[in-house]
Amino acid sequence: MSPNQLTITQALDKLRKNEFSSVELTQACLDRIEQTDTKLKAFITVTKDEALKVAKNADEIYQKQPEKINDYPLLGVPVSIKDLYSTKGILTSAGSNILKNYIPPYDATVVKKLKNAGAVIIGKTNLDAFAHGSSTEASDFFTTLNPWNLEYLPGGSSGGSAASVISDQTIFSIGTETGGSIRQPAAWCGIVGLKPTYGRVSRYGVIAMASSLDSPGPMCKTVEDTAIVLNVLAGHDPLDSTSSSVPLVDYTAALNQNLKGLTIGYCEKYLNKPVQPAVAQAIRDALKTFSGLGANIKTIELMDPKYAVAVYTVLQRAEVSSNLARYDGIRYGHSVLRNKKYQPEDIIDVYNETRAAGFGEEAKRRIMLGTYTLSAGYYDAYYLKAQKARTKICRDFEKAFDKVNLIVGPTSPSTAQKVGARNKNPMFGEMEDILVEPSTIAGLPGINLPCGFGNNLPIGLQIIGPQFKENKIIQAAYAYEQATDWHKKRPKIASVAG
Amino acid sequence: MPYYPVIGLEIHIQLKTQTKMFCGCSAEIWPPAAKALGGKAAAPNTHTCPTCLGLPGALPTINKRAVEQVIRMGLALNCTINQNSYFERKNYFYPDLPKGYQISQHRKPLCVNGQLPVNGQIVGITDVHLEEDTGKSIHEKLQPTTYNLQPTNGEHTLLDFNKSGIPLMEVVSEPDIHSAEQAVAYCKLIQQIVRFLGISDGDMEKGQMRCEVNVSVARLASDIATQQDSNSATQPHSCTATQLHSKLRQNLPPTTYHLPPYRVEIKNLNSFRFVQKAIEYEIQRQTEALENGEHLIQETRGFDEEKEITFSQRSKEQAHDYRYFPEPDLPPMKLSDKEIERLRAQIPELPHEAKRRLVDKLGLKPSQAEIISREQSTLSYFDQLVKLNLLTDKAANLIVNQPELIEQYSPQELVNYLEKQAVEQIGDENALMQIARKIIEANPKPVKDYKSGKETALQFLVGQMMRETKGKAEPQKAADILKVVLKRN
Repeated sequence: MSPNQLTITQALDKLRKNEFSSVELTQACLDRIEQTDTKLKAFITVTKDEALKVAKNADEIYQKQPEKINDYPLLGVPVSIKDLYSTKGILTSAGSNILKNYIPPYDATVVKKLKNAGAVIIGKTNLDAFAHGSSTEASDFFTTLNPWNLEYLPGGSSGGSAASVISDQTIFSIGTETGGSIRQPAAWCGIVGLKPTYGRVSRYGVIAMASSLDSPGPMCKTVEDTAIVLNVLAGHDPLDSTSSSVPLVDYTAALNQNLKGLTIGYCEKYLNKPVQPAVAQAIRDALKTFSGLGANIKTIELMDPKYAVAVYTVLQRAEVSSNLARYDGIRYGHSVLRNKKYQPEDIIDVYNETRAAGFGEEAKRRIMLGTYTLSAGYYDAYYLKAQKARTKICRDFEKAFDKVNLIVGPTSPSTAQKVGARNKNPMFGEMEDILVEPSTIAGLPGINLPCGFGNNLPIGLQIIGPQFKENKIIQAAYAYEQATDWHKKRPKIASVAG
Repeated sequence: MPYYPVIGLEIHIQLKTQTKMFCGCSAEIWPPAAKALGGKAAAPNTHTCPTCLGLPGALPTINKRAVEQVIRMGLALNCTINQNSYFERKNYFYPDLPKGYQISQHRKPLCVNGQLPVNGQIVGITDVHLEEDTGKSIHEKLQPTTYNLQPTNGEHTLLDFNKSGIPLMEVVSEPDIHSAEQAVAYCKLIQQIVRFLGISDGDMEKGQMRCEVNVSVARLASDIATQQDSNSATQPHSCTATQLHSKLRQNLPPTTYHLPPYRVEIKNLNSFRFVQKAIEYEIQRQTEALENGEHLIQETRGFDEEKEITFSQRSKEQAHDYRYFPEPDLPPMKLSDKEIERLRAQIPELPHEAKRRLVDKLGLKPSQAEIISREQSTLSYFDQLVKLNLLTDKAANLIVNQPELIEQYSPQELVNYLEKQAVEQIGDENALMQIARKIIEANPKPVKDYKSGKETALQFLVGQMMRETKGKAEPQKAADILKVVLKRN
């Protein structure tokens, strides 16, 4: 087995035993990227030189300061990062033309934490521009392909991250989710993706999509890796006022606990059309597995997810329209003013030209819709009403969690869709994310686990828990993973150049 | 036919905090060290960070000190404090607004429904809220080669983000002001109050205090009733609540008036003089327009500081829709009763309160009280003099007429000095008495003349006194002493 195919746990074990160095491990990932990424296109930027330098420093500690190894829970482990995180001195594009030359002067809190934990950043991964999408087809640069079948999409918006993990280009990755952007690509690529409770992981330095929903989180090969990374990322950040100071727990302590006494709920509505029969069947099988592991299975009622989609669409667009206002061509990023021949009429002209060229279709659509819903005379009818409905959805989940500890359902109604699927339908993302948006709206944590295959593509199962109960989710997810083999499957990607 | 001016003010005041409103940058963009060098501002863009530059991903955090200062201001203006106040985003585009929105307050400002007595009349305070300042645009002509960007007609706009994110408090008044003088008095009192509270220097030259005035002119209701006027001063916005409100609070005009259906906003007035001139100009312009049968519209106007006239900037149709919505990056504030009471306890006696005390309790003239209560240092100096048993009238006269003494001496030193002076004066009087007796003895003829009613004879005796004292005696004092001695003689 090549080092890049390992999990975090396995890699750390071998690094400690000196079976290979971090430089060798990092090089193995970089080699894999070189062999596969001309086809997969998971990465926007590969930070080869910087990565090898950091890996070398990690090796120094392994070799010369072994007493310090435990201070760095991810020492020498390669990670890919969604290109939505501000990385000091490294291009941070958000997958958009308007930021295609933007090099930030500061690190996001998550990036800082990864560096402090000793992780080796090997590159920045592709996404739908500004995370607006569920396929990476809305990236202003290129579409990432699904490693299981190159005619299919990896999902999104963290599609580059998911593809890089399942194709063993990296040991793990960091994504962000606003409404499905971690769980859905994790489902389509067959990896573990955790969207933590809103506020559990700092948003500082994450290019904002919808500020009241954005949740950074890990995308890994196993549940155990996910727990290890969450331990590094979680916690209050003085730089993010919406980050929570609810006490932290050791998430790895939730591993290896049995499921006796745990009640898992599921909702029939989440298994009906438009959910593909193969997906619904995989979930019913998984429920049997949970039952076999000692959990009580219970059916519950939940609000029709279509309401959450409506609420999500209004709130997210409103916040997007405001969050994208700063890209005006004045201080950084693409600007029409850089064109020497351009003679602006006035400042409005500068804005118009810059934003027309810098934003893609999807960003423009969202800016227009969001601007509309916040406008005088419409605010009450859309934004305010959506906020009220949001409260109802939160109550709906609270009621459900009075009866059950966790809720299980499909992550996506379908397995991966074909390249081009999104182009025909502006609501594509919302339909693919219909089963994750309710929990997003309620700020709840959720995880995707591989749970089967349909059409030779992975099927994803999600476990949703109450706020700040990531440990319960990890407990159930780990038990399920140990009882199944889905997480061990890897696509056969022809090792090709070009 | 007279028109009645209706004026409301919006005053922006930069708060004097160590750090900016939503980031850790130093808010001291006028470094004290630079004061000696003529109050030079810090070099452009040296007080900036990802947050106040609006870099992608940067987030705001609330400066608690600034929130407290605004609450203190609100309490000073008799406001109700919104205990679940929150911030909102005010969305608009401008190059010196780095995020494309300003974090401000709209639906739940920190302080609402206050009032302030100005020259005996109550001015309603709509709200006091907190926001962040924008950066500074510097429009100038430049050599095209200086910068890497294309100049437009040889002109550039440079941006300095030092003041971007400085805490900015906005005090919004009700349209309860009816003259330019009253508006200026209101502005001055607000400036004094923020200085008394120590929350801002309110230096208008440095842009620490900026005024916007809303002016319209109204017809008196009685005039309208008799005239069946169809012009602008009629119905749609006739606001009976406001009328009643105002009437209760003020020595109202001869009769009530209807709030006009338009208002003209004049922005960026950075001196009291400009506030006065802009309002005077507007009252005249609007009155003339209405008398000429013109229809006035809601608009924003600028003020030409050289010509001292206003000019149209944009009409209501072009007005911004700011699309306010709650700032999702900041949780709502929670202000406890205890917290508010703690802040209330930190409010010193305010200038208008001090003025009333000086007049009502200490019997000073209003003009004296006005001068003494203008600055906290003067007021405190006066109070210390009184505490040191100086007569209030004496203390007031000293401060009003001899401000140089205040500069020179501490209150205790001044009292000591005055006592010494008094002792010397008594010594002087005794000496003059003796001289007077000597002169009276030596000049029996003029003394007799004086006693027989010849007033001019006294002048001769005073002249003798002056000669004897080598001109040191004051002629008036010499005359007074001579009169006393002659009486006893």
